[in-house]
Amino acid sequence: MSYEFRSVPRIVCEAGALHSVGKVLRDLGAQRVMLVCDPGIVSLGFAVMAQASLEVAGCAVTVFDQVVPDPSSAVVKEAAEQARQFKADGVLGLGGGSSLDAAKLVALLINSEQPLEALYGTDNALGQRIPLVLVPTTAGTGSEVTWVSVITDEQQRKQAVYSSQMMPDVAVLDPQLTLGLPARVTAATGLDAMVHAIEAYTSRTRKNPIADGLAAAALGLLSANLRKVLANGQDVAARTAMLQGSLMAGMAFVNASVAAIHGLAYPLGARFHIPHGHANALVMAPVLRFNLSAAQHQYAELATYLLPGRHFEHEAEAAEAFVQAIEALVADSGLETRLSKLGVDEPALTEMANSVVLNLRRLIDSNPKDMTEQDVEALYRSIF
Amino acid sequence: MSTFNFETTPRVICEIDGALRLGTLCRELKAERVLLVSDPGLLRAGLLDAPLRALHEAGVDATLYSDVQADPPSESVQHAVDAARNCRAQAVIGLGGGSSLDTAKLVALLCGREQALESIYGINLAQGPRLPLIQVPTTAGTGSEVTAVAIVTTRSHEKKGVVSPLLYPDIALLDARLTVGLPAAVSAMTGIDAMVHAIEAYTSVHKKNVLSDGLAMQALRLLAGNLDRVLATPGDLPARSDMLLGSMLAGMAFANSPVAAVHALAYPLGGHFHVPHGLSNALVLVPVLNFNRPAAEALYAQLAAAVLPGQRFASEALACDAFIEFMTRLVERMPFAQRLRDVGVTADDLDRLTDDAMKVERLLINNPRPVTRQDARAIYASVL
Repeated sequence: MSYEFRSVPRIVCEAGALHSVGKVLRDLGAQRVMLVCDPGIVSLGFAVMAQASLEVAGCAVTVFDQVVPDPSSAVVKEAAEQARQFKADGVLGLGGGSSLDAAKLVALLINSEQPLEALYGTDNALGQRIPLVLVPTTAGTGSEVTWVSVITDEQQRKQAVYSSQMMPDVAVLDPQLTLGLPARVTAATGLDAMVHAIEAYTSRTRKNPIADGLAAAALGLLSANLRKVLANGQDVAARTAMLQGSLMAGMAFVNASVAAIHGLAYPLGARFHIPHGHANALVMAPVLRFNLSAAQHQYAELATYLLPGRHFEHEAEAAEAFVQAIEALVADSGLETRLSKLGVDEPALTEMANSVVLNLRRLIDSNPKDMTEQDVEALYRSIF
Repeated sequence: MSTFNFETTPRVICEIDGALRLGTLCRELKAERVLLVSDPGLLRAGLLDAPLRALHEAGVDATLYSDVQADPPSESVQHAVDAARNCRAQAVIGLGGGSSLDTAKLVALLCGREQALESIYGINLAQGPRLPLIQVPTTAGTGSEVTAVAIVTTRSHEKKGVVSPLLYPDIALLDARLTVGLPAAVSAMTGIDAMVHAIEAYTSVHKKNVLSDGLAMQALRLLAGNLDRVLATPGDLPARSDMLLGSMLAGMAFANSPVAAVHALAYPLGGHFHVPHGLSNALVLVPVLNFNRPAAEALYAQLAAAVLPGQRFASEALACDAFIEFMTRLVERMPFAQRLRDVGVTADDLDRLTDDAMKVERLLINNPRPVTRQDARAIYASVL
């Protein structure tokens, strides 16, 4: 029995918190801040709000607003170069998982002599990063509380950087930033967050009681509020709960690992550019059903959070109810559920299955039930 | 509550014999000379031998300061600071109960930056940076390894607190091996203390939030499930480990959602009758729970799920009953004094205790039910 648990040292949660983000960075000693975001954040007016807050707090600001989904290594390098030119001493990441992941790498690369490629993998970064504050605008990736960045390399492969220095100083949750999210994004990111909680709770490699407590609480919040925010995107209380649930699920999975759902989702993102949350949503229910025989006990425990107040006669019934509730939630989410409708071609199924067992073994190892290449391919086919 | 600020220790290591890794951890924190802050009891018990050896073997020059006293006087803190300066410590390790950890916090702070102890009593008056700090609790416990407070006793016998986020350590290290030798009474008192932290954090009126809730629930699950076990089998390492973890999680919860009337009523017992902190809490816990019932029924009903997992209740009222009943029976079977008269309190003392309890307004305001002077006196009288 031995494990480590890392946490972001400070979390601020408040409607309108983006307006005080300048002071948060100033308190960390930053005077020259780079804002990392994407063009969507600019057109929503959030970048201007953040910039104003930073300037009021006395910080000079440069904006890098060219982050793209599944950011390429080239984009990250360009951002890091701009930060160097500006002599930034603080980074503010504002946006979805892609912007936050890029911001983490910029904060690390700016003072580093290592090329980005040298950081791929676990704990390869040598230096210290500059102050880093992350503000998610989806609920979400949980990226604001993890030390992981996932980017796309020049060969179109997903590369992950795991480096404890990338854990930000402060995560800021502002539900106002998520009120206008389109239903499709709300659904995909909300299901992604639920996957984080579920896979952390059932992780075969690094499951631990701290992550368990956070995952269970996260799942309760997310399942109680996902339908609410889909029905009414302006529901501030439900949007807040989704952000909080996403953050707690992020704390859980980064300390316990995710598993096969993420494993099967990654190739869908890398090859077919299906957004990460949607890719998870696609494979989520089939993988849970596949796992049921091995994870019955844990799924039964999670049923008490997903379906509070429901009584079950025995464990098998509770676990089955859990999987059915997730299946219903995915079906009701409005997301496309067939791979063939999303541009995936049939020959790709075999290749993707091969790539999962070859390149993403660490995720399969955390899955409650082992998976062969044939299993993976059968799962892809079941949703083709 | 949807608006909150949450702060915590960024890294937790939970490992049996983890104290043997202290040398490596100091190296990671770039420290070659460290001060180990502990107390004479632990030195006599030989508990410091293995950690000191591990430090030396890692090439870390460790100086021992083992003169920490209970409720540390300000002079004693100053002596520890002098010891750290004399050995030019680059990091501080606190190893012990709450007093050692509190002393270590202040040493790290006062050696990291020149400032007078007297000038930093209060909230956020301390200035950083502090020296790197690792906290290793040997009771389960105060949760001091994850709180931002250090309490000292001034020359005029006043208790003063330093509150600053700088006091969160870099690492909290939980090593159950260090707790197997705790006497049953100490295990019992500190265990109940930790449960009180979780309960009061969960029912706190002002800063209660989803994160503190999730942590408090998980803390209570672990503490309720393991306290009897460590009393029955002191060498039960998994149970000891879960107690340490439960205590830490409760600490994380109450550091962000403060304690209330149990603590307010307990403090005067410590002040006037030198009753150990955990025992003071245990003495007033059950009457305070009964007193709070009208205001806290729903929350206590939720906590029933943590202390009585798997049990179903026909109504909220019955779940609340079951929770209070569980805590009542648990406290009753603990190997320590059950009545105020057993610790030297007489009927003549009740007014003085009541006066002092009412002065602890900063905690009373967090209580789910307002406490009047008559209420406080009646609570004391009920357990005389």
